[in-house]
Amino acid sequence: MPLYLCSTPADDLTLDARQRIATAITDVHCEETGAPRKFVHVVFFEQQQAAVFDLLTPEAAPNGRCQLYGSIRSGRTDDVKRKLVTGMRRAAAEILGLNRDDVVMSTRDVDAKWVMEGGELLPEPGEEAAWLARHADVSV
Amino acid sequence: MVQCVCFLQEGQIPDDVVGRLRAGITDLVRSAQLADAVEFAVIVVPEGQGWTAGAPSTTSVVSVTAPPIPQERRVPLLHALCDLWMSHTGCKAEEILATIMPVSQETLDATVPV
Repeated sequence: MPLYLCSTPADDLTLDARQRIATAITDVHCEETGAPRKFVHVVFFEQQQAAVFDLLTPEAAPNGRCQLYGSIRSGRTDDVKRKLVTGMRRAAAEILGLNRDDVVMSTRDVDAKWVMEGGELLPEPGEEAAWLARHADVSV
Repeated sequence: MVQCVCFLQEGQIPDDVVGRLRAGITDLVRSAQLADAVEFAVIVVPEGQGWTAGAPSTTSVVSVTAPPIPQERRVPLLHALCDLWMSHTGCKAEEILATIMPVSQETLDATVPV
């Protein structure tokens, strides 16, 4: 966690573009939250796979050329969430050569106590230090 | 009814293992008295579409939605899910992201499977 989903038109993205977008999303998330990169996941779907996208994003219907949806740990401030959305939309638009309005994004807060990664529940806001120390040396 | 959405990276988990994972998750859900049946959506993420830390991903995502349960029931079930995944696939703890999220029974009943 976080898990970011990216929906694009069919056959619209090259492997290089997907990697650049995944890296940009990871960069923005880590810069704004301080989270370790190894727990930032990005999955791409083409819009012909809309049923898959809808399965995890029931409140967000595809309505742009590129749609981003982030499941993020709860406790992020509105300011941090705004920076995540702004930074990721900007990056995706630049990589895809789109207007920023053609990239839509929403986020969903997920309680830390609902999620297990690295064999442990995610830390509650403010309790990250000990958790991060336990996972500092793990490589995936 | 309980729903379980799994994201698997293409080529990582053989079909027969996926079958054992589905059976194992169903057993866990029954043992936890959450439901008698699980509605699965197993999504294979094609190569080049799943990324972790900006690199090709080896992480599986298992997202269970179920009626609300107390945390003292959720935690052992999450551990059991992760243990099941690691024992059947040989993955590391860092390669399984498991969630058990609450949703009302009415929402679960109204959801159309894909």
